Amino acid sequence: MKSSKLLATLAVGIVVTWAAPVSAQGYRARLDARYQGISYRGYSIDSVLAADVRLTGDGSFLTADGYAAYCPAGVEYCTFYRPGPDLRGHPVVATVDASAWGFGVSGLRLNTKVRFGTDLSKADVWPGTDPEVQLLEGYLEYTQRSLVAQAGRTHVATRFGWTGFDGVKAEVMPLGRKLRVLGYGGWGLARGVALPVTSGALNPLDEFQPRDRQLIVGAGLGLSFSQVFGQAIWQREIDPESENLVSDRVAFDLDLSPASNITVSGGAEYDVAAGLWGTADASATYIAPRGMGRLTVGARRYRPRFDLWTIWGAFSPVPYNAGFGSLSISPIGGLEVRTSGEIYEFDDTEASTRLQQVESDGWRWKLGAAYNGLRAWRFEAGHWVDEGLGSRSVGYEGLATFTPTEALSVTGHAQRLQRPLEFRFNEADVRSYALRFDYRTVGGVRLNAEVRRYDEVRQRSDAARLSWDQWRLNAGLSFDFGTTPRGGGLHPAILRIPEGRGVR
Amino acid sequence: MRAIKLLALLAVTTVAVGMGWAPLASVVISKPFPHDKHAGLFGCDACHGGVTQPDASPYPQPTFCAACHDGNLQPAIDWTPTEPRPQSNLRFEHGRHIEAASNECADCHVVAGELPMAGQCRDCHSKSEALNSPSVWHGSDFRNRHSAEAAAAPETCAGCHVRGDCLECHQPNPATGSPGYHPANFLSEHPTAAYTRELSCSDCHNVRSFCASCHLQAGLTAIGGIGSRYHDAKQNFIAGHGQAARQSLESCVACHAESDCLRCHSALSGRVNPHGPGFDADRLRDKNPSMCSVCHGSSIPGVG
Repeated sequence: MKSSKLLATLAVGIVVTWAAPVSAQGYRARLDARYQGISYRGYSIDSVLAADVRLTGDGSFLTADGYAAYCPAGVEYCTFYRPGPDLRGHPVVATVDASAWGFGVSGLRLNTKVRFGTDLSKADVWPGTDPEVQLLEGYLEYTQRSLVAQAGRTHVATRFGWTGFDGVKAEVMPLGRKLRVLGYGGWGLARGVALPVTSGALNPLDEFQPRDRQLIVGAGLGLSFSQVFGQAIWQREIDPESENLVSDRVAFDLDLSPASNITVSGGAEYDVAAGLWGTADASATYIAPRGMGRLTVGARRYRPRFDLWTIWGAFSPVPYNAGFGSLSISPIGGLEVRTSGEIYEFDDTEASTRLQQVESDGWRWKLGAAYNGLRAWRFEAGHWVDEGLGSRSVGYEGLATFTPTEALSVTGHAQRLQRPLEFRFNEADVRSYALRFDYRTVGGVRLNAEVRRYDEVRQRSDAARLSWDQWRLNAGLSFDFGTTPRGGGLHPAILRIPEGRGVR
Repeated sequence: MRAIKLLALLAVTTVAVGMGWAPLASVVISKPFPHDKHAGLFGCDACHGGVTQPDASPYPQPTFCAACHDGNLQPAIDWTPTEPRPQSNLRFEHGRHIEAASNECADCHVVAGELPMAGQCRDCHSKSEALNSPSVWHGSDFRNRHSAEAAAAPETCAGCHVRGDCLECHQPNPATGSPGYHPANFLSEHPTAAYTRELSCSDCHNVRSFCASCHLQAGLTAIGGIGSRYHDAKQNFIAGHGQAARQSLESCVACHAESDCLRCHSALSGRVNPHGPGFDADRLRDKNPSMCSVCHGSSIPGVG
């Protein structure tokens, strides 16, 4: 049934995609279909009569079959966690990315990106395939030298993140495109997904959910000179039912090039509703001539943000402040060695207690190298450590890509990850090995497949350890078609670049 | 009103900074060089041989031109080398491209003196995945540090990208395997990255549809309360969870519903005050009193 639904939605999507540009002078589209076979495992809470658990030497309780049990004094039943069932998902997703133009008005274009997805397993165990048809974008765009206007389902990319809405957006660029004035408004989408906040798919825990979509309005002002880019933006979201604010924020960004090989960039956001400075960062980058290397140093601050229709903002989440740096150098042709690191510390929560110690700072560090100096080979290796609040991880990986012909590449990948958690006894040592094939046919069809093996050892002092050993399979197919010459499978973004537009 | 004032202040500051830097933006404007008149005299490398040399100018010195343009053989000229282009996030090494093109500059520079068109790039880079990955174009790790530049100077991205590219990660495809945006095996690694928000997860993932739905399937959500000792690596976790919650509340809400916390943190039951540093009750009440009424009912402090 699910397969027939998928086929039906695919057929409708393709027909719609093809039908739109029939009367147009040109179109370009890309069909991308992917499959993933995946599994994961969690826990099932269970209970046992308090009389059936035994007390251990350290004062904890164990069930008869060895599970650590929680037995507050005086209760009749104790609770414990068993390894949950092995959940297997088989998501299949087809994405149609289409663009059509030539409607009789110069500069008018229709852009759509529609996703059709389902999970071939009996239960939807893997997130993202509900609902089965999702319109990621669909807007009519009118472009002139100093104007870009869009109407439909569209997005703005700002310091606030990737914000989607159904409405209109206009960007005017006077003074030879040195000044940008942006305005947008409409009905907002939820964060991180192309669905309205009222969608049932966004409420798995049966929490409070707004009855109406929020209204969104925003405005921005940007400057673009050869060595200075700057932008200030304001965005407000309103609950139309109560007229209460959902969010109200301003932000600015600045990107400077004081010298030809130095870039300084940064910005900050301010939560007008809460009266708090939010996430901010500043960094300076030095780029050595001829791609010899790059050095970046900076500082940043991260503060989480919650919509005001939730209660979470009233729990006073605190930000952390971090200093970071990265360095990459190319000592010989084809070789790149890179390292990066960050240290961070949370602001005082005013909630610490002697009853337990919780980390409030941490650090992370990465070291890696890539070599592509041989004609048909590319090698990469990496090592990283992440130590801080909640958990830590240490990893190693290696990758080799062999490209025997222009059409075929084969990649082998191996990785080891060691990961203890701070809040739950659950040390894991995961090793994974993968083989991937990418093949491009003469007609521009691209195929890829990957098979990956996971071997995992989990360590706990009771029986609640579980095995995650598994095989995973990925496969994909993409195909470009349209009225302009095919670009050999290159991404449609590149294909839609007007010819003659120089690469900066 | 205060928001408008702040916006105006920001705008004025930005304009002022921009104007202050404007003189730096001025570059030497030179007339287009008549490549066609020189093409028959010598090859490209005679003037532009420096493109393959680190630290060398890609343009000839005026004295080189004066060898002919001395006022006798040819008219004297007043020519100044064009300033080098600012380094961008786009990786490019002329040496490697010249090698790949068998020293045929025209393979890319179809019109002498003009930058290559997108078509010239794709002719080669579409030949294999190894030539077409983001790290080839922008260098490694660019995906993790592109946000500031993308927000401040989107036009630099728009030279090659459309927003559909952004959606590849910002609206992740559930059937895409790893490595994609995240490295391989990220599913095992994600608690570490999520607890400390190395990146802003919610820029691409909806915490309800993505995190909570998966945790629900795995039995990791706290429907029924948090008193059942899931966090068993910490003695007395429930009694001291406040610090962890304020540090990583986004991780908490990936498993816990509001109702879990309201059992204690509510003026209507439990009465454990959750408000901490930076909490401005008057301000939030003005902006959205509905949020207050979830815990305070109709008796919101400061109202009535």
